[in-house]
Amino acid sequence: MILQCTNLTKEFGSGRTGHRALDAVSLALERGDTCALLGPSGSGKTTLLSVIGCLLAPSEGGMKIDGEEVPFRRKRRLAAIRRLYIGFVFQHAQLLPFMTMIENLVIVGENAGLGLRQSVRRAEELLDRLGVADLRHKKPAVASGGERQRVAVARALIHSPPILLADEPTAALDWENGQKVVELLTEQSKTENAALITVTHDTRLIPMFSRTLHIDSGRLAV
Amino acid sequence: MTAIAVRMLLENASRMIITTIGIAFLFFLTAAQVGLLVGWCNTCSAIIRNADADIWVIAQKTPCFDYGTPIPEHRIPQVRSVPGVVWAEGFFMAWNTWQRHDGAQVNVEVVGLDDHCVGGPWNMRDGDCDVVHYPDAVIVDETFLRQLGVERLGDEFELYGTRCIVRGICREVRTMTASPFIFTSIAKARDFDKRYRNDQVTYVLARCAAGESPEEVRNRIAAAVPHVEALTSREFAIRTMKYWMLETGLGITVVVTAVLGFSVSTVVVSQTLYTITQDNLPKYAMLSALGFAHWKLALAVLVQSVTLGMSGWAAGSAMYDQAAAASATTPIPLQTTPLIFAAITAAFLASCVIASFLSLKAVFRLDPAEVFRA
Repeated sequence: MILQCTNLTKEFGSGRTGHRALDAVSLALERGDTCALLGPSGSGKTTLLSVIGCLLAPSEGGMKIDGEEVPFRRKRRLAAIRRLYIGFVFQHAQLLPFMTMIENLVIVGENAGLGLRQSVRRAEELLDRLGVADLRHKKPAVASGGERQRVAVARALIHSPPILLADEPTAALDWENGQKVVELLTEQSKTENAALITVTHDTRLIPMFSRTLHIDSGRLAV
Repeated sequence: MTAIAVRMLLENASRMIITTIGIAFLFFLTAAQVGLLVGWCNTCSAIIRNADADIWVIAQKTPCFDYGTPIPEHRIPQVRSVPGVVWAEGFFMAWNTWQRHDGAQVNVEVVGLDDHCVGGPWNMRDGDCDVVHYPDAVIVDETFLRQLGVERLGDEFELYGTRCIVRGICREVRTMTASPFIFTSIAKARDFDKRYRNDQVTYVLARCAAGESPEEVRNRIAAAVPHVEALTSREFAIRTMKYWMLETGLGITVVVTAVLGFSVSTVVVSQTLYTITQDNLPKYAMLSALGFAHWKLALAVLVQSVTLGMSGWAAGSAMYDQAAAASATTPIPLQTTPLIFAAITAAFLASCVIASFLSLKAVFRLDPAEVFRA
Protein backbone atom coordinates (compact mmCIF):
# COMPACT_ATOMS: atom_id res chain seq x y z
CA MET A 1 0.00 0.00 0.00
CA ILE A 2 1.49 3.26 -1.10
CA LEU A 3 -0.81 5.64 0.80
CA GLN A 4 -2.72 5.11 3.99
CA CYS A 5 -4.61 7.92 5.72
CA THR A 6 -6.14 7.29 9.13
CA ASN A 7 -8.72 9.62 10.66
CA LEU A 8 -7.31 12.71 9.05
CA THR A 9 -8.92 15.75 10.59
CA LYS A 10 -8.14 19.34 9.80
CA GLU A 11 -9.58 22.29 11.67
CA PHE A 12 -9.04 25.93 10.79
CA GLY A 13 -9.45 28.40 13.66
CA SER A 14 -11.11 27.53 16.94
CA GLY A 15 -14.26 28.20 18.94
CA ARG A 16 -17.19 29.85 17.20
CA THR A 17 -15.13 30.85 14.18
CA GLY A 18 -13.55 27.41 13.90
CA HIS A 19 -14.16 25.30 10.83
CA ARG A 20 -13.56 21.59 10.40
CA ALA A 21 -12.43 21.12 6.80
CA LEU A 22 -11.64 17.39 7.14
CA ASP A 23 -13.45 15.11 9.50
CA ALA A 24 -11.80 11.76 10.26
CA VAL A 25 -10.93 10.90 6.69
CA SER A 26 -9.47 7.43 6.22
CA LEU A 27 -8.25 6.28 2.88
CA ALA A 28 -5.92 3.66 1.41
CA LEU A 29 -4.48 3.61 -2.09
CA GLU A 30 -2.40 1.04 -3.95
CA ARG A 31 0.05 1.81 -6.73
CA GLY A 32 -1.84 2.04 -10.02
CA ASP A 33 -5.10 3.15 -8.38
CA THR A 34 -6.70 6.07 -10.17
CA CYS A 35 -9.20 8.06 -8.12
CA ALA A 36 -11.53 10.89 -8.94
CA LEU A 37 -12.17 13.08 -5.92
CA LEU A 38 -15.52 14.80 -6.21
CA GLY A 39 -17.43 17.16 -4.01
CA PRO A 40 -19.11 20.55 -3.91
CA SER A 41 -17.18 23.76 -3.36
CA GLY A 42 -15.89 24.03 0.21
CA SER A 43 -16.33 20.33 0.85
CA GLY A 44 -12.64 19.80 1.69
CA LYS A 45 -11.26 18.48 -1.60
CA THR A 46 -8.31 20.84 -1.76
CA THR A 47 -7.63 20.49 1.96
CA LEU A 48 -7.47 16.71 1.61
CA LEU A 49 -5.19 17.05 -1.40
CA SER A 50 -2.97 19.47 0.54
CA VAL A 51 -2.67 17.09 3.49
CA ILE A 52 -1.98 14.07 1.26
CA GLY A 53 0.53 16.22 -0.65
CA CYS A 54 2.32 17.00 2.64
CA LEU A 55 1.63 20.71 2.17
CA LEU A 56 -0.62 20.98 5.19
CA ALA A 57 -0.42 19.26 8.55
CA PRO A 58 -3.61 17.60 9.83
CA SER A 59 -4.98 18.60 13.23
CA GLU A 60 -5.48 14.94 14.08
CA GLY A 61 -4.86 11.59 12.48
CA GLY A 62 -1.90 10.21 10.63
CA MET A 63 -0.68 9.22 7.22
CA LYS A 64 1.75 6.66 5.91
CA ILE A 65 3.49 6.79 2.57
CA ASP A 66 5.03 3.55 1.41
CA GLY A 67 4.62 2.20 4.95
CA GLU A 68 6.38 5.12 6.66
CA GLU A 69 4.64 7.56 8.95
CA VAL A 70 4.73 11.13 7.62
CA PRO A 71 6.31 13.46 10.24
CA PHE A 72 4.07 16.48 9.65
CA ARG A 73 5.93 18.63 12.18
CA ARG A 74 9.25 18.34 10.39
CA LYS A 75 9.06 20.80 7.51
CA ARG A 76 12.37 19.79 5.96
CA ARG A 77 11.34 16.15 5.90
CA LEU A 78 8.00 17.11 4.35
CA ALA A 79 9.81 18.92 1.52
CA ALA A 80 11.92 15.80 0.97
CA ILE A 81 8.80 13.59 0.87
CA ARG A 82 7.18 15.90 -1.70
CA ARG A 83 10.41 15.89 -3.69
CA LEU A 84 10.66 12.10 -3.82
CA TYR A 85 7.17 10.65 -3.45
CA ILE A 86 4.70 13.12 -4.87
CA GLY A 87 3.99 14.60 -8.28
CA PHE A 88 1.64 17.57 -8.54
CA VAL A 89 -0.49 18.77 -11.44
CA PHE A 90 -2.06 22.14 -10.70
CA GLN A 91 -5.16 23.77 -12.06
CA HIS A 92 -3.28 26.24 -14.26
CA ALA A 93 -0.18 24.15 -15.04
CA GLN A 94 1.96 26.74 -13.22
CA LEU A 95 5.03 26.36 -15.38
CA LEU A 96 7.81 28.88 -14.85
CA PRO A 97 7.21 31.35 -17.69
CA PHE A 98 10.86 32.34 -18.07
CA MET A 99 12.07 28.79 -18.69
CA THR A 100 11.53 26.50 -21.64
CA MET A 101 9.30 23.45 -21.32
CA ILE A 102 12.23 21.06 -20.98
CA GLU A 103 13.92 23.31 -18.42
CA ASN A 104 10.70 23.32 -16.39
CA LEU A 105 10.99 19.55 -16.20
CA VAL A 106 14.74 19.31 -15.73
CA ILE A 107 14.87 21.58 -12.65
CA VAL A 108 12.36 19.32 -10.91
CA GLY A 109 14.28 16.20 -11.94
CA GLU A 110 17.55 17.67 -10.70
CA ASN A 111 15.94 18.76 -7.45
CA ALA A 112 14.81 15.17 -6.93
CA GLY A 113 18.41 14.03 -7.37
CA LEU A 114 18.28 12.66 -10.92
CA GLY A 115 21.31 14.52 -12.24
CA LEU A 116 21.34 16.71 -15.33
CA ARG A 117 21.81 14.06 -18.03
CA GLN A 118 19.27 11.69 -16.60
CA SER A 119 16.79 14.53 -16.09
CA VAL A 120 17.16 15.69 -19.69
CA ARG A 121 16.78 12.12 -21.01
CA ARG A 122 13.71 11.50 -18.88
CA ALA A 123 12.20 14.92 -19.77
CA GLU A 124 12.62 14.26 -23.49
CA GLU A 125 11.08 10.83 -23.15
CA LEU A 126 8.07 12.19 -21.25
CA LEU A 127 7.50 15.14 -23.57
CA ASP A 128 7.64 12.73 -26.47
CA ARG A 129 5.26 10.30 -24.79
CA LEU A 130 2.79 13.10 -24.02
CA GLY A 131 2.91 14.45 -27.57
CA VAL A 132 4.55 17.79 -26.84
CA ALA A 133 8.11 16.99 -27.90
CA ASP A 134 8.12 19.81 -30.45
CA LEU A 135 7.55 22.32 -27.63
CA ARG A 136 10.59 21.31 -25.63
CA HIS A 137 12.56 24.47 -26.36
CA LYS A 138 9.59 26.78 -26.35
CA LYS A 139 8.41 28.87 -23.43
CA PRO A 140 4.98 28.26 -21.86
CA ALA A 141 3.56 31.51 -23.26
CA VAL A 142 3.57 30.16 -26.83
CA ALA A 143 1.73 26.93 -25.94
CA SER A 144 -2.02 26.39 -25.63
CA GLY A 145 -3.67 25.61 -22.30
CA GLY A 146 -3.92 21.91 -23.18
CA GLU A 147 -0.26 21.74 -24.22
CA ARG A 148 0.84 23.47 -21.02
CA GLN A 149 -1.18 21.03 -18.95
CA ARG A 150 0.46 18.08 -20.77
CA VAL A 151 3.85 19.53 -19.93
CA ALA A 152 2.67 19.90 -16.33
CA VAL A 153 1.78 16.20 -16.33
CA ALA A 154 5.26 15.42 -17.64
CA ARG A 155 6.76 17.57 -14.88
CA ALA A 156 4.73 15.68 -12.27
CA LEU A 157 6.10 12.39 -13.62
CA ILE A 158 9.74 13.28 -14.18
CA HIS A 159 11.00 11.91 -10.87
CA SER A 160 8.75 8.81 -11.10
CA PRO A 161 6.76 9.54 -7.95
CA PRO A 162 4.54 6.79 -6.56
CA ILE A 163 1.74 9.29 -5.85
CA LEU A 164 0.26 11.74 -8.34
CA LEU A 165 -2.04 14.51 -7.16
CA ALA A 166 -3.96 16.64 -9.64
CA ASP A 167 -6.02 19.64 -8.55
CA GLU A 168 -8.75 20.24 -11.11
CA PRO A 169 -6.38 19.85 -14.05
CA THR A 170 -9.21 20.27 -16.55
CA ALA A 171 -10.80 23.37 -15.01
CA ALA A 172 -9.10 25.78 -17.38
CA LEU A 173 -9.53 23.58 -20.46
CA ASP A 174 -12.38 22.87 -22.86
CA TRP A 175 -14.03 19.45 -22.69
CA GLU A 176 -11.97 17.88 -25.48
CA ASN A 177 -8.62 19.01 -24.11
CA GLY A 178 -9.68 18.26 -20.54
CA GLN A 179 -10.62 14.72 -21.51
CA LYS A 180 -7.25 14.23 -23.23
CA VAL A 181 -5.37 15.45 -20.18
CA VAL A 182 -7.26 13.10 -17.85
CA GLU A 183 -6.69 10.23 -20.28
CA LEU A 184 -3.01 10.97 -20.23
CA LEU A 185 -2.96 11.23 -16.45
CA THR A 186 -4.68 7.89 -15.92
CA GLU A 187 -2.60 6.21 -18.64
CA GLN A 188 0.65 7.54 -17.30
CA SER A 189 -0.17 6.68 -13.69
CA LYS A 190 -0.69 3.11 -14.83
CA THR A 191 2.44 3.14 -16.97
CA GLU A 192 4.46 4.56 -14.09
CA ASN A 193 2.63 2.43 -11.53
CA ALA A 194 1.65 5.47 -9.47
CA ALA A 195 -1.47 6.11 -7.43
CA LEU A 196 -3.47 9.03 -8.81
CA ILE A 197 -5.95 11.32 -7.06
CA THR A 198 -7.61 13.88 -9.30
CA VAL A 199 -9.91 16.56 -7.94
CA THR A 200 -12.63 17.32 -10.45
CA HIS A 201 -16.07 18.81 -10.68
CA ASP A 202 -16.77 17.17 -14.02
CA THR A 203 -18.77 13.97 -13.50
CA ARG A 204 -18.36 13.08 -17.18
CA LEU A 205 -14.77 12.13 -16.41
CA ILE A 206 -15.67 9.58 -13.72
CA PRO A 207 -15.65 6.53 -16.02
CA MET A 208 -11.98 7.14 -16.75
CA PHE A 209 -10.95 6.42 -13.12
CA SER A 210 -10.81 3.10 -11.30
CA ARG A 211 -12.23 4.61 -8.11
CA THR A 212 -14.42 7.55 -7.17
CA LEU A 213 -14.17 9.34 -3.83
CA HIS A 214 -16.95 11.70 -2.73
CA ILE A 215 -16.28 14.27 -0.05
CA ASP A 216 -18.84 16.50 1.59
CA SER A 217 -18.44 18.69 4.68
CA GLY A 218 -15.04 17.14 5.22
CA ARG A 219 -16.33 13.57 5.33
CA LEU A 220 -15.32 11.02 2.78
CA ALA A 221 -17.82 8.62 1.31
CA VAL A 222 -16.07 5.95 -0.77
CA MET B 1 18.71 27.52 -8.46
CA THR B 2 21.09 30.27 -9.60
CA ALA B 3 19.74 30.04 -13.14
CA ILE B 4 16.15 30.22 -11.93
CA ALA B 5 16.96 33.22 -9.74
CA VAL B 6 18.72 35.17 -12.48
CA ARG B 7 16.08 34.37 -15.08
CA MET B 8 13.37 35.36 -12.65
CA LEU B 9 15.11 38.74 -12.42
CA LEU B 10 15.50 39.03 -16.18
CA GLU B 11 11.82 38.17 -16.69
CA ASN B 12 11.11 41.85 -16.20
CA ALA B 13 14.09 43.28 -18.05
CA SER B 14 13.00 46.92 -17.89
CA ARG B 15 12.66 46.75 -14.11
CA MET B 16 16.06 45.08 -13.88
CA ILE B 17 17.68 47.78 -16.06
CA ILE B 18 16.09 50.65 -14.13
CA THR B 19 17.13 49.10 -10.82
CA THR B 20 20.65 48.48 -12.10
CA ILE B 21 20.96 52.10 -13.21
CA GLY B 22 19.70 53.27 -9.82
CA ILE B 23 22.15 51.05 -7.96
CA ALA B 24 24.95 52.08 -10.32
CA PHE B 25 24.38 55.74 -9.49
CA LEU B 26 24.29 54.96 -5.79
CA PHE B 27 27.53 52.98 -5.99
CA PHE B 28 29.05 55.79 -8.00
CA LEU B 29 27.89 58.32 -5.41
CA THR B 30 29.44 56.28 -2.61
CA ALA B 31 32.68 55.54 -4.48
CA ALA B 32 32.95 59.17 -5.60
CA GLN B 33 32.56 60.43 -2.04
CA VAL B 34 35.22 58.05 -0.80
CA GLY B 35 37.35 58.92 -3.86
CA LEU B 36 36.96 62.58 -2.99
CA LEU B 37 38.03 61.86 0.57
CA VAL B 38 41.09 59.89 -0.59
CA GLY B 39 41.87 62.56 -3.19
CA TRP B 40 41.69 65.30 -0.56
CA CYS B 41 43.81 63.32 1.89
CA ASN B 42 46.40 62.76 -0.83
CA THR B 43 46.28 66.35 -2.02
CA CYS B 44 46.51 68.02 1.38
CA SER B 45 49.55 65.97 2.32
CA ALA B 46 51.14 65.73 -1.14
CA ILE B 47 54.09 68.07 -0.50
CA ILE B 48 54.89 66.35 2.81
CA ARG B 49 54.79 62.89 1.25
CA ASN B 50 56.84 63.93 -1.82
CA ALA B 51 59.41 66.09 -0.03
CA ASP B 52 61.97 63.32 0.39
CA ALA B 53 62.50 64.38 4.01
CA ASP B 54 62.16 62.10 7.02
CA ILE B 55 61.44 64.76 9.61
CA TRP B 56 59.58 68.07 9.65
CA VAL B 57 60.48 70.55 12.34
CA ILE B 58 57.57 72.92 12.90
CA ALA B 59 56.45 75.68 15.27
CA GLN B 60 54.61 74.36 18.30
CA LYS B 61 50.88 73.76 17.83
CA THR B 62 51.05 74.04 14.05
CA PRO B 63 47.66 72.59 13.00
CA CYS B 64 48.56 71.57 9.46
CA PHE B 65 50.93 72.15 6.57
CA ASP B 66 48.96 75.06 5.15
CA TYR B 67 48.89 77.08 8.39
CA GLY B 68 52.51 77.11 9.49
CA THR B 69 53.92 79.63 11.96
CA PRO B 70 57.37 81.14 11.28
CA ILE B 71 60.36 79.87 13.22
CA PRO B 72 63.87 81.38 13.33
CA GLU B 73 66.12 80.43 10.46
CA HIS B 74 68.87 79.42 12.86
CA ARG B 75 66.82 76.33 13.70
CA ILE B 76 68.24 74.91 10.46
CA PRO B 77 71.85 74.59 11.69
CA GLN B 78 70.55 73.48 15.09
CA VAL B 79 68.65 70.60 13.47
CA ARG B 80 71.61 69.87 11.20
CA SER B 81 73.85 69.46 14.27
CA VAL B 82 71.66 66.73 15.84
CA PRO B 83 73.30 63.29 15.60
CA GLY B 84 71.68 61.14 12.95
CA VAL B 85 70.71 64.06 10.69
CA VAL B 86 72.35 63.95 7.26
CA TRP B 87 71.05 67.25 6.03
CA ALA B 88 68.48 69.87 6.96
CA GLU B 89 66.95 72.60 4.79
CA GLY B 90 64.55 75.43 5.34
CA PHE B 91 61.08 75.64 3.86
CA PHE B 92 58.83 78.67 3.72
CA MET B 93 55.04 78.73 3.41
CA ALA B 94 52.78 81.79 3.44
CA TRP B 95 49.51 82.95 1.99
CA ASN B 96 49.69 85.69 -0.59
CA THR B 97 47.67 87.46 -3.29
CA TRP B 98 48.39 86.96 -6.98
CA GLN B 99 47.51 89.91 -9.14
CA ARG B 100 46.26 88.99 -12.60
CA HIS B 101 46.60 91.25 -15.65
CA ASP B 102 42.87 91.78 -15.76
CA GLY B 103 42.92 93.16 -12.21
CA ALA B 104 41.48 90.07 -10.56
CA GLN B 105 43.24 88.76 -7.47
CA VAL B 106 43.77 85.13 -6.58
CA ASN B 107 44.66 83.79 -3.14
CA VAL B 108 47.76 81.60 -3.41
CA GLU B 109 50.06 79.62 -1.14
CA VAL B 110 53.64 80.75 -1.74
CA VAL B 111 56.21 78.06 -1.05
CA GLY B 112 59.81 79.16 -0.60
CA LEU B 113 62.46 76.51 -1.31
CA ASP B 114 65.98 76.30 0.05
CA ASP B 115 69.20 75.60 -1.88
CA HIS B 116 68.38 72.02 -2.89
CA CYS B 117 64.68 72.62 -3.48
CA VAL B 118 63.58 70.03 -0.90
CA GLY B 119 59.77 70.01 -0.80
CA GLY B 120 59.59 71.51 -4.28
CA PRO B 121 57.41 70.31 -7.17
CA TRP B 122 58.11 66.65 -7.98
CA ASN B 123 56.56 66.59 -11.41
CA MET B 124 57.74 69.30 -13.82
CA ARG B 125 56.08 69.94 -17.16
CA ASP B 126 58.19 72.90 -18.28
CA GLY B 127 61.53 73.94 -16.84
CA ASP B 128 63.40 72.63 -13.83
CA CYS B 129 62.81 72.98 -10.13
CA ASP B 130 66.09 74.91 -9.75
CA VAL B 131 64.66 77.86 -11.71
CA VAL B 132 63.22 79.12 -8.41
CA HIS B 133 66.69 80.49 -7.69
CA TYR B 134 66.57 82.74 -10.79
CA PRO B 135 65.69 86.36 -10.06
CA ASP B 136 61.96 86.85 -9.41
CA ALA B 137 61.24 83.32 -10.70
CA VAL B 138 58.17 81.30 -9.73
CA ILE B 139 56.80 77.90 -10.70
CA VAL B 140 53.05 77.41 -11.07
CA ASP B 141 50.97 74.28 -11.62
CA GLU B 142 49.31 73.61 -14.97
CA THR B 143 45.98 72.89 -13.24
CA PHE B 144 45.71 76.54 -12.25
CA LEU B 145 47.11 78.29 -15.34
CA ARG B 146 43.74 79.70 -16.35
CA GLN B 147 42.87 80.68 -12.78
CA LEU B 148 46.18 82.54 -12.49
CA GLY B 149 45.94 84.02 -15.98
CA VAL B 150 49.25 82.43 -17.07
CA GLU B 151 49.58 81.85 -20.81
CA ARG B 152 53.22 80.95 -21.24
CA LEU B 153 56.63 80.83 -19.56
CA GLY B 154 58.02 84.29 -19.06
CA ASP B 155 54.66 85.88 -18.18
CA GLU B 156 55.03 88.48 -15.44
CA PHE B 157 52.68 89.02 -12.50
CA GLU B 158 52.71 90.58 -9.06
CA LEU B 159 52.50 89.14 -5.55
CA TYR B 160 51.55 91.88 -3.06
CA GLY B 161 52.91 94.35 -5.56
CA THR B 162 56.24 92.56 -6.06
CA ARG B 163 57.10 91.38 -9.55
CA CYS B 164 57.44 87.68 -10.35
CA ILE B 165 58.13 85.81 -13.59
CA VAL B 166 56.74 82.37 -14.43
CA ARG B 167 59.88 80.29 -15.16
CA GLY B 168 58.50 76.79 -14.72
CA ILE B 169 55.23 74.84 -14.86
CA CYS B 170 54.65 71.74 -12.78
CA ARG B 171 51.99 69.07 -13.07
CA GLU B 172 49.42 67.82 -10.53
CA VAL B 173 51.04 69.60 -7.59
CA ARG B 174 47.77 70.79 -6.09
CA THR B 175 46.48 72.17 -2.84
CA MET B 176 43.17 71.15 -1.38
CA THR B 177 42.43 74.75 -0.42
CA ALA B 178 41.75 75.67 -4.06
CA SER B 179 44.49 78.29 -3.69
CA PRO B 180 47.32 77.36 -6.08
CA PHE B 181 50.87 76.73 -4.91
CA ILE B 182 53.43 79.24 -6.17
CA PHE B 183 56.97 77.89 -5.77
CA THR B 184 59.90 80.24 -5.44
CA SER B 185 63.07 80.60 -3.35
CA ILE B 186 62.89 81.23 0.39
CA ALA B 187 64.43 84.67 -0.03
CA LYS B 188 61.97 85.67 -2.73
CA ALA B 189 59.02 84.22 -0.78
CA ARG B 190 59.91 86.44 2.18
CA ASP B 191 60.37 89.32 -0.22
CA PHE B 192 56.83 88.81 -1.54
CA ASP B 193 55.38 89.14 1.95
CA LYS B 194 56.65 91.91 4.13
CA ARG B 195 55.05 90.46 7.25
CA TYR B 196 57.95 88.03 7.57
CA ARG B 197 61.49 88.86 8.64
CA ASN B 198 64.48 87.86 6.60
CA ASP B 199 65.60 85.38 9.23
CA GLN B 200 62.38 83.34 9.34
CA VAL B 201 61.36 80.07 7.76
CA THR B 202 58.21 78.04 8.32
CA TYR B 203 59.62 74.54 8.51
CA VAL B 204 62.94 72.75 8.70
CA LEU B 205 63.11 69.55 6.73
CA ALA B 206 65.64 66.92 7.73
CA ARG B 207 66.88 63.63 6.37
CA CYS B 208 68.09 60.84 8.68
CA ALA B 209 71.31 58.94 8.16
CA ALA B 210 71.02 55.45 6.72
CA GLY B 211 70.05 52.97 9.43
CA GLU B 212 68.72 55.67 11.76
CA SER B 213 65.15 55.41 12.88
CA PRO B 214 63.18 58.60 12.05
CA GLU B 215 61.35 58.29 15.39
CA GLU B 216 64.62 58.27 17.34
CA VAL B 217 66.10 61.18 15.39
CA ARG B 218 62.82 63.04 15.84
CA ASN B 219 63.13 62.60 19.62
CA ARG B 220 66.73 63.82 19.55
CA ILE B 221 65.71 66.93 17.61
CA ALA B 222 62.83 67.61 19.97
CA ALA B 223 65.22 67.37 22.89
CA ALA B 224 67.97 69.47 21.30
CA VAL B 225 66.04 72.24 19.54
CA PRO B 226 63.88 74.52 21.72
CA HIS B 227 60.37 75.85 21.05
CA VAL B 228 59.63 73.55 18.14
CA GLU B 229 57.90 70.28 17.47
CA ALA B 230 59.61 67.55 15.46
CA LEU B 231 57.40 65.12 13.54
CA THR B 232 58.17 62.36 11.13
CA SER B 233 56.81 62.98 7.63
CA ARG B 234 54.11 60.40 8.26
CA GLU B 235 53.05 62.09 11.48
CA PHE B 236 52.90 65.52 9.89
CA ALA B 237 50.96 64.17 6.90
CA ILE B 238 48.43 62.55 9.27
CA ARG B 239 48.14 65.73 11.35
CA THR B 240 47.44 67.72 8.19
CA MET B 241 44.87 65.20 6.95
CA LYS B 242 43.16 65.13 10.36
CA TYR B 243 42.99 68.90 10.42
CA TRP B 244 41.31 69.20 7.06
CA MET B 245 39.10 66.13 7.36
CA LEU B 246 38.03 66.37 10.98
CA GLU B 247 38.56 69.85 12.32
CA THR B 248 37.12 71.66 9.31
CA GLY B 249 34.24 69.18 9.01
CA LEU B 250 35.06 68.53 5.33
CA GLY B 251 35.77 64.84 5.84
CA ILE B 252 32.70 64.30 7.98
CA THR B 253 30.49 65.78 5.26
CA VAL B 254 32.01 63.42 2.73
CA VAL B 255 31.70 60.41 5.03
CA VAL B 256 28.07 61.25 5.79
CA THR B 257 27.31 61.45 2.07
CA ALA B 258 29.08 58.11 1.48
CA VAL B 259 27.08 56.48 4.28
CA LEU B 260 23.91 57.98 2.80
CA GLY B 261 24.85 56.43 -0.55
CA PHE B 262 25.19 53.03 1.13
CA SER B 263 21.93 53.45 3.02
CA VAL B 264 19.89 54.60 0.04
CA SER B 265 21.29 51.78 -2.10
CA THR B 266 20.35 49.29 0.63
CA VAL B 267 16.80 50.66 0.68
CA VAL B 268 16.51 50.65 -3.13
CA VAL B 269 17.80 47.07 -3.44
CA SER B 270 15.60 45.99 -0.54
CA GLN B 271 12.53 47.59 -2.08
CA THR B 272 13.17 46.16 -5.52
CA LEU B 273 13.93 42.70 -4.23
CA TYR B 274 10.85 42.73 -2.04
CA THR B 275 8.69 43.69 -5.00
CA ILE B 276 10.26 40.99 -7.15
CA THR B 277 9.82 38.41 -4.38
CA GLN B 278 6.19 39.41 -3.77
CA ASP B 279 5.50 39.23 -7.50
CA ASN B 280 7.03 35.78 -7.60
CA LEU B 281 5.56 34.34 -4.40
CA PRO B 282 3.17 32.05 -6.35
CA LYS B 283 6.19 30.68 -8.22
CA TYR B 284 8.10 30.17 -4.98
CA ALA B 285 5.01 28.45 -3.52
CA MET B 286 4.85 26.20 -6.56
CA LEU B 287 8.55 25.34 -6.25
CA SER B 288 8.10 24.70 -2.54
CA ALA B 289 5.15 22.41 -3.26
CA LEU B 290 7.32 20.53 -5.75
CA GLY B 291 9.80 19.81 -2.98
CA PHE B 292 12.31 22.65 -3.28
CA ALA B 293 13.68 23.25 0.19
CA HIS B 294 13.21 26.70 1.71
CA TRP B 295 16.96 27.25 1.83
CA LYS B 296 17.10 26.81 -1.93
CA LEU B 297 14.41 29.42 -2.39
CA ALA B 298 16.24 31.71 0.02
CA LEU B 299 19.38 31.12 -2.02
CA ALA B 300 17.49 32.32 -5.09
CA VAL B 301 16.65 35.59 -3.30
CA LEU B 302 20.27 36.01 -2.22
CA VAL B 303 21.49 35.32 -5.76
CA GLN B 304 19.07 37.97 -7.01
CA SER B 305 20.30 40.52 -4.51
CA VAL B 306 23.94 39.83 -5.34
CA THR B 307 23.16 39.89 -9.09
CA LEU B 308 21.47 43.26 -8.74
CA GLY B 309 24.34 44.50 -6.60
CA MET B 310 27.01 43.21 -8.98
CA SER B 311 25.36 44.63 -12.08
CA GLY B 312 24.95 47.98 -10.33
CA TRP B 313 28.53 47.75 -9.10
CA ALA B 314 29.87 47.04 -12.61
CA ALA B 315 28.03 49.98 -14.15
CA GLY B 316 28.87 52.22 -11.17
CA SER B 317 32.57 51.25 -11.35
CA ALA B 318 32.67 52.14 -15.04
CA MET B 319 31.14 55.52 -14.21
CA TYR B 320 33.67 56.01 -11.41
CA ASP B 321 36.59 55.18 -13.72
CA GLN B 322 35.42 57.78 -16.20
CA ALA B 323 34.92 60.38 -13.48
CA ALA B 324 38.32 59.61 -11.92
CA ALA B 325 40.04 59.98 -15.30
CA ALA B 326 38.19 63.23 -15.99
CA SER B 327 39.06 64.65 -12.56
CA ALA B 328 42.73 63.61 -12.61
CA THR B 329 43.95 67.05 -13.70
CA THR B 330 41.44 69.10 -11.75
CA PRO B 331 41.94 70.64 -8.30
CA ILE B 332 39.62 67.98 -6.82
CA PRO B 333 40.76 64.58 -8.10
CA LEU B 334 38.85 61.38 -7.34
CA GLN B 335 41.45 58.91 -6.12
CA THR B 336 41.40 55.48 -4.58
CA THR B 337 43.58 52.48 -3.82
CA PRO B 338 42.85 48.83 -4.73
CA LEU B 339 42.30 48.06 -1.04
CA ILE B 340 39.88 50.94 -0.48
CA PHE B 341 37.96 50.12 -3.67
CA ALA B 342 37.76 46.46 -2.66
CA ALA B 343 36.46 47.50 0.75
CA ILE B 344 33.78 49.75 -0.78
CA THR B 345 32.77 46.92 -3.12
CA ALA B 346 32.57 44.42 -0.27
CA ALA B 347 30.56 46.82 1.90
CA PHE B 348 28.27 47.60 -1.03
CA LEU B 349 27.60 43.92 -1.80
CA ALA B 350 27.09 43.27 1.90
CA SER B 351 24.49 46.04 1.98
CA CYS B 352 22.74 44.34 -0.97
CA VAL B 353 22.69 41.04 0.94
CA ILE B 354 21.34 42.83 4.03
CA ALA B 355 18.73 44.35 1.75
CA SER B 356 17.39 40.87 0.97
CA PHE B 357 16.33 40.38 4.61
CA LEU B 358 12.65 41.30 4.10
CA SER B 359 12.42 39.14 0.99
CA LEU B 360 14.03 36.20 2.79
CA LYS B 361 11.50 36.61 5.55
CA ALA B 362 8.68 36.43 3.01
CA VAL B 363 10.15 33.26 1.51
CA PHE B 364 10.64 31.57 4.87
CA ARG B 365 7.03 32.37 5.83
CA LEU B 366 5.80 30.91 2.55
CA ASP B 367 2.96 28.40 2.81
CA PRO B 368 3.38 25.85 0.01
CA ALA B 369 -0.38 25.17 0.16
CA GLU B 370 -0.71 28.66 -1.41
CA VAL B 371 -0.12 26.88 -4.67
CA PHE B 372 -3.74 25.68 -4.67
CA ARG B 373 -5.00 29.20 -4.16
CA ALA B 374 -2.99 30.66 -7.06
